[in-house]
Amino acid sequence: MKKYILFLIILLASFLRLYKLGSVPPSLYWDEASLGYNAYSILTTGHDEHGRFLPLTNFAAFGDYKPPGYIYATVPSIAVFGLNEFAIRFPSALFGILTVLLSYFLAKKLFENAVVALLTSFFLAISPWHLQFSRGAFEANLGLFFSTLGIYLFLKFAKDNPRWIFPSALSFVAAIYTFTGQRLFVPFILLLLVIQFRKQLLTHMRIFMFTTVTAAILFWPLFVFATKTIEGQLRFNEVTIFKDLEPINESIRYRGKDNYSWWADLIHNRRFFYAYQYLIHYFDAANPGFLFIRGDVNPRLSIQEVGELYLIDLPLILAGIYFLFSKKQKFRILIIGWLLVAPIGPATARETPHALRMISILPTFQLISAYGFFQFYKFVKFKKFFIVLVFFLLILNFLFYLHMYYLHWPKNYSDQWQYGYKQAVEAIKPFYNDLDYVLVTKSQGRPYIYFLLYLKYDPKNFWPTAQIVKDKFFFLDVNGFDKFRFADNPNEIPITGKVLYVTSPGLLPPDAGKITTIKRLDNLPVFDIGEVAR
Amino acid sequence: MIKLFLILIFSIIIISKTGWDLPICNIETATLAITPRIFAEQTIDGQNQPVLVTRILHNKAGIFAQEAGRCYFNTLDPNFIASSTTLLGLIFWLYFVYRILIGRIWHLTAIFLLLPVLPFFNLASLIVVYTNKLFAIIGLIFLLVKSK
Repeated sequence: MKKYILFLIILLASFLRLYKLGSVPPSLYWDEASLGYNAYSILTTGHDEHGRFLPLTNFAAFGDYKPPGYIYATVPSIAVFGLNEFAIRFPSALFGILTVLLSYFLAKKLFENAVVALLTSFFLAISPWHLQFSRGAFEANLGLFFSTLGIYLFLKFAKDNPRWIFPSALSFVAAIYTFTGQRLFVPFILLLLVIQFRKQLLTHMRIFMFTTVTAAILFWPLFVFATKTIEGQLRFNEVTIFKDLEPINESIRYRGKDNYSWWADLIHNRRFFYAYQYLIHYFDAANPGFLFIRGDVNPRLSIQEVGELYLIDLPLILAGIYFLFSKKQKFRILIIGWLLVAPIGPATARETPHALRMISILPTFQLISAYGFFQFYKFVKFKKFFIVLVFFLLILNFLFYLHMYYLHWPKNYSDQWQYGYKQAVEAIKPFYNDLDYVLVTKSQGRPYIYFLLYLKYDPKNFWPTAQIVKDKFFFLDVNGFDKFRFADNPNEIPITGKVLYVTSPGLLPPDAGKITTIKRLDNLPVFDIGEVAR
Repeated sequence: MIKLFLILIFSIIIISKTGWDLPICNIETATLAITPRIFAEQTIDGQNQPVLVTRILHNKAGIFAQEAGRCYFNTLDPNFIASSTTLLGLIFWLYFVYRILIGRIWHLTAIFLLLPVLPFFNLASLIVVYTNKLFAIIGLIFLLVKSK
């Protein structure tokens, strides 16, 4: 019976992650396009978009030096389904489904109770947080699968067979090679696991040491890249609060008020100001508005109308935490510890709370609410009424979420997904062979990757013609390739011949004849396309 | 003696903390949000969907409840609590919540859960700030009493 229920949950998880995968979210945002084209480039040439042979530690992409995990995972998907939205997002959806399955086994190991395990996987299957990231090409989602697998295999090591520690370590290394955020999660969760299972580790010291050395060797190339190169530190330095000067200014201001006395240097030390800022960002993770009402402020990371968790999860989570402690559940420190260490890394960034960077917190909320539900059920008198009430409210929450996700969110926020590029590429295709140049605005951001992607442009032809520049933030920008030229204002490029313009609305040159206007899903224009022969 | 001294020092720090910031969110803002949101959401639902479904998913009560929920949770935001009690106060506040739940002190739990309703109805919003300070101090006392 339980197997059938698990099968139904996986079926539901699959449907929710694969249905309309190519069209909701409404289009590929630039990171997805970059991941897809790099995977296509690897598939067809064995090199990345910039011509590097099988990169091991990073893909330069836009100069953000993406970890390689997701790109390599997308290669077989593109080989099977072709270069399209579905293929690019498929690995995320697939590993999202597998994470739901994994959460069942993880919960079973932690609670030794099949009902709690089934509830955990069901809650994760319908979780708005997990669905959002399973339906886009998010490296974070693949990273989540690997880190959850690492934790599960570590539990198997501690409870079943010491040999499981080796695949566990490999999973953690894979997580680090897949998502940058995992670099600040894996060390802390490992520390927790080591504390929780110190006796088992001491008993199996030889295999533990062998695994540690192997993992260290595998991790070494990435470690060198992340710590010894400017490129490796670029992204962290760009987003971290520790590069902000305001805490230093404040420290100076306070010390100045105290005439720079020795005790003022001590009390108003800049490190305290940074620590204060860090803690503010850390506690942002528990912002109830973020968790239960609106979700992440970035419309790409949340639909804005539902929290990262359902409202009905709140009492279940509170009950879960209560019962974890009051029942002295064996793994309560590990579960609560996981919940507390997940925001440690994301709190170093300026934007908090951040659903993407904090994704490694999943599936702790689901584990806790499943346990809370189960214990609550045992506690209450009117058991049937309790089940009906909770599931009624949950289904109500869930249906509202689905309605908003499929109907409202794509229309309200298609601009956040750079909607319009695909339509623009389709519009220029019939003219392309007769043109001398195509001038494209950069107003929507990183246009070159969309033209490469949707034209399925051969990377071998891109490398020799690409005009790549490094901007002041070290990002790589492509100003042109083949017949394409990209500029903030294409009208300023002096050019003769037969030219096609893709500009912001109303900005076509006066002598150009308009061919079409591309509109977003909310019916606002995004591009004007026009042709001119000079 | 040392514990009493610590309680006094931390209490003074918590009480003297100023500069708290609670976003304006109350029954008026919730009511104001209803009409534009219903209009926007019903427009997107379009012509093809049964009116009943639209009315179930986008109605005044639902939107009002959502806005009320947002206001309620604003007062439980850890950063608001930190801004009204200091970061150390927040830690004591969290310990207070832990102790009243584990210790099944239901009357304090009820007060704790009902307090955020006050600012929503424009009833003595400042009480929430000072009650948070009080909760933090009680949490501090719980902590020190426990370590006896």
